[in-house]
Amino acid sequence: MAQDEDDGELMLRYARGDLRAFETLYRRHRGPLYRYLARQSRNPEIADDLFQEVWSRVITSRERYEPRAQFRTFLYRIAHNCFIDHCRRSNVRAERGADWETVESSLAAPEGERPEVHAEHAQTMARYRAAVAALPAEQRDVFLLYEESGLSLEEIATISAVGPETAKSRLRYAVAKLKAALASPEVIRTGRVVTPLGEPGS
Amino acid sequence: MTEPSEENDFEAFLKTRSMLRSPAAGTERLEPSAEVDQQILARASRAIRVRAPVQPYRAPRWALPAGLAATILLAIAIVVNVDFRGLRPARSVAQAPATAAPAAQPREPEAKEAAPGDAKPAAAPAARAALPAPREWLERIEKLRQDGHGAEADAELERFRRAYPHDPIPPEAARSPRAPSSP
Repeated sequence: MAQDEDDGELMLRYARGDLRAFETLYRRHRGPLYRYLARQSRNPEIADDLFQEVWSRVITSRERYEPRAQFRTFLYRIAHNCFIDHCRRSNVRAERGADWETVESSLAAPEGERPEVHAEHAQTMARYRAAVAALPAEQRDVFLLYEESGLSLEEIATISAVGPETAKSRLRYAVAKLKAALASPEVIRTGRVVTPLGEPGS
Repeated sequence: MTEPSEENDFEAFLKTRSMLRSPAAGTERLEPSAEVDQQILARASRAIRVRAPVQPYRAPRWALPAGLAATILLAIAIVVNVDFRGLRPARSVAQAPATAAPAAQPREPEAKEAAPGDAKPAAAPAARAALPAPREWLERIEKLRQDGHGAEADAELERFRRAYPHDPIPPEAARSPRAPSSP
């Protein structure tokens, strides 16, 4: 069954002209990849553009693809590079300054959920997203890669071009800050998280 | 130092890959629109349908002039080579080393003078091919002398000298045999 097929094999099949293999691959990764880009860019339009750019690169590189590493690593490396390129092109450091109003509109109340419960969940999500947005770029990148992609820390370290310990350290700081932010709304408002780690930011 | 609770939070996150344990986590349904899906799938389909056309081989621009030049050079080389081969005996005649026959050297102008009408005696390989071989010719001259045809032998000798000015002439062919001594 195609669902059980290895991503690398699907990519090779697509390179040989099998569109169904690509469709399977796409369905499998579209959600997490889009969320990674949307949460990185914090702008749905930019996320759409980056998402399409990533898949375009996957399509054009199909004949050069070699399943040395996991397809997922290959995909998120492209995504990571696309986002970095986007920041360079638009001269954006993107440390802060979320454009979440537009993202909010994409959140709809699940059917049967009471409005007050939905409002509470939405508020929690908003705080959470704001806290993620407030993270330093390197920490946010590692955090989102870990949360969305399903990659291991070693693979994330490879994508980010840092050592595994550095990647783990960044992730640790990010988790501590988010935890503190979720516990104290004030932290999000000020954008400053004072953790017992007293880390410098990366 | 990290506090134990922080370490626990971190370990929990590493396992669950999620910071939110509440149902709020499920409310974030960020995903690409159906339109974006369609565009990407259409692009993927186009990419494998429109394969890069196989370009027929096109010679580089310099190939034609280079080929022509090579052909001309080859033709010239063949012509020169054929001509050169044909001329080689003539050249050997004209530029024969002095060491080959020092005695024959003075004969060269003589030979030229002897055949003023024959402007290119050595340059006519076809005519030379018609001449008998030197040894054969000299034997014939000797035979003529032995048979008492001195005048004819002299004429042949003259022709021989013109044709082969540097070839040594044996005495038997060069002079008429002495008249038999009278008893």
